[in-house]
Parts: sequence; C-alpha cells; structure tokens
Amino acid sequence: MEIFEQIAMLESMTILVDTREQATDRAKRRYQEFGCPYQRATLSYGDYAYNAKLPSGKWLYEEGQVVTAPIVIERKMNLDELASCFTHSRDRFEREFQRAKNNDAKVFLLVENSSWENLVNGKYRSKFNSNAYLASLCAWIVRYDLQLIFCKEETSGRIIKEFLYRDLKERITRGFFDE
Amino acid sequence: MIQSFKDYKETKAYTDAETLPKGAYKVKILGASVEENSRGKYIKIGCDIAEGEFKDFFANQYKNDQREDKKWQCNYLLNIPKDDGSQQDGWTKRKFKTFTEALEESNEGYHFDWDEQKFKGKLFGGLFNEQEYKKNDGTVGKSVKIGKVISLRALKEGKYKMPEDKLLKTSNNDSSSDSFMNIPDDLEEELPFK
Repeated sequence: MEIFEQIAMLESMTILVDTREQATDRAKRRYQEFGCPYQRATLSYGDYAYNAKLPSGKWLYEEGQVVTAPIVIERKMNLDELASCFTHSRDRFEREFQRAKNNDAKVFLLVENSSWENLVNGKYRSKFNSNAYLASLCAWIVRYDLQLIFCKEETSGRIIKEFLYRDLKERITRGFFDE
Repeated sequence: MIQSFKDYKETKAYTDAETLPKGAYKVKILGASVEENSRGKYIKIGCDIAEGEFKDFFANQYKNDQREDKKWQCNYLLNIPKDDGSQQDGWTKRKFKTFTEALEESNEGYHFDWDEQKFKGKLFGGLFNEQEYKKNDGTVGKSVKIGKVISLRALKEGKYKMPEDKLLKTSNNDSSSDSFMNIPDDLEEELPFK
C-alpha cells in the first residue's frame, strides 16, 4: 500500500460500537470524545473496534457483518460491573474472551473510575472478596494477554479512540491489510 | 562527555532539503476527499511532485518524519461553492473552475464530472509559494504550499506568474489578510477593497 493510500485508510477510520451498548447520555458523551465517526455493529467480542476503507474502496467489515476484529476495547464502567462479570456472569465473560483468543485478537480491558488500590482495598460495591477479585483479574490478564487500563469516565472516549487509531496505523504500516 | 541516546543511529537529522523550494512543479494527485469545517465543504486534494529533482518530495518527507502524529504536508484545499449568490461564492466558483479546467487541459480525455474520486492520478501544474501560519506556541512558521493551479501546458511554456507569498497579518504587514485566503490569487487585483 502506498503511503498516501495508508493515510487515506487511516483517515477513514470509523469506530464500531457494539449494538449491546446502550446509548445513555454518558455513552453519547463518550462517542463525542472519539473525535471521529462511529457506528453501531455486532461485535463477536469487545465493546469497541474499528472499521476502515481499503484502497480498493471496500471496507474491512460490510454493514450487517458480525465483526471479529484484531483488536477490541472491552469497557467496564467501574469495579462493581467488572466484579459482576467475574461472579454472576463469569461463564459468559469467559466465552467472550475465549472467542477473542481464538481469533488472536488483542483485548484492552478499560475500567472507568477505578484503580488497583481501590480493588485491593475492596473499595467497590460487591461481595466479591478482594483477594479473589485480584486473583481473577490477574489470571485473566495473563491467560488472555490483556492490557488493563484504568481511567476516569471523562477520558475513556479519547483513550478508546487513540488505542484503536494506533493499532490501525501500526497494522497498515506493517502491511497487515495489503491486498 | 555526554551520554548517547539509544536511537542516535536511526535518528534523521534536519537538512535544508526538507523544505521544498518555491517554484513551479508538475504535480500528481494521490487522492481526494470531501471534508467540512465551520466555513463549509471543501475538497482536500492530496498531492506530490510528479517529476524532476523533487519527485515524491512529500512522500519522502512523510517517510522520514519520525513523529507519531505526522501528517501529509501537501494538500490543496478547494472550497466547494455554496451557490448562495454571494460575492464570496462567486470567487469560490471561479477558483473551483480554474482548478477543474486546469485538470481537463492537463489530462487528455479527462472531463470533470463532479466525481472528486476521479481526481486521483491526474496531473496539473502547481505554483508553490511560501505561506505563513501560527504555531501552537504562538510563533510564526513558514511552509511552502500550492498557491495556484495551472495547466501543464502553461507550466511547460512558462506562461504563468508566481503568486505572492501569503503572510500572516501583523502590524508590519497590514496589506495581507486571512479573510482573503479563499480568493484566487489572479482575482486579487479586481478586489475593490484591497
């Protein structure tokens, strides 16, 4: 892919938001923070991925296609929600990460309004024991090769966009999408 | 003795060659897209030098730029007329047509059909002048950009007049104004308030 084609593909980046994410006011503010177009799509795993237009004019994913992306962001609004995933819906959570692993996808787990210290000190609304919580999270990180990001909710939109953008740029530069 | 930094060998030094000399060049279009800002819609036309000593100048500049947020440095921005009957829009229309006619004259068999995607691969003559811009830190930077578009025939025959450099408005430079950025250079002498 020629340099200018690489740039054009990068500029076409659209963030795909999983259809299961509810369009709350908080979510809408997050989408505005992206600073690039976004659209709803069915993601096989994760909450956010990217789409981009190839030099041939085709998009990486056609409308209506179930997206199995090479990189996704899984977002949790706080430690409470993540604790619920490790307890009440652990099987579903595990299946989702296994699907990502089967596709060699890179997953960024972004947890808003949280920190390691809050987790270790049990500062969350769940009966999930903090030692068990720490063990589960660390095991998950190692098992699924996760990147864990803690941030404030007002920053998550920009961070989501930046990680997706940088991943797309790296892949374009390395010839990952060369036809 | 100072400590060497880890990527000293790979780091590219700044050289004079990183600035394109002002002048007339044969230019090729690499791609075009419709964009929008607060002033309205425009076509962003990505270009590079097509031949000669400075062939692929901007591609090489981009390759050698090690910044993570680097940008393509040769874009010609063509405002799309609003068709609102204003005087400003009249100038926009003339500049638009100056561009499309230059493309038609320069590329045999090409007829403008309002599809900006077909600009890709076309050639034209580009007159590059120096343009000042304000940097984030408030200082003034200079870059060499396409100030005027002409046909390849006019380029070959030397039938053109280089556009004046575009300087930012300062106390020492009252005659130049940002508000005239959209006006074709060859129309400036017609302006009643210049």
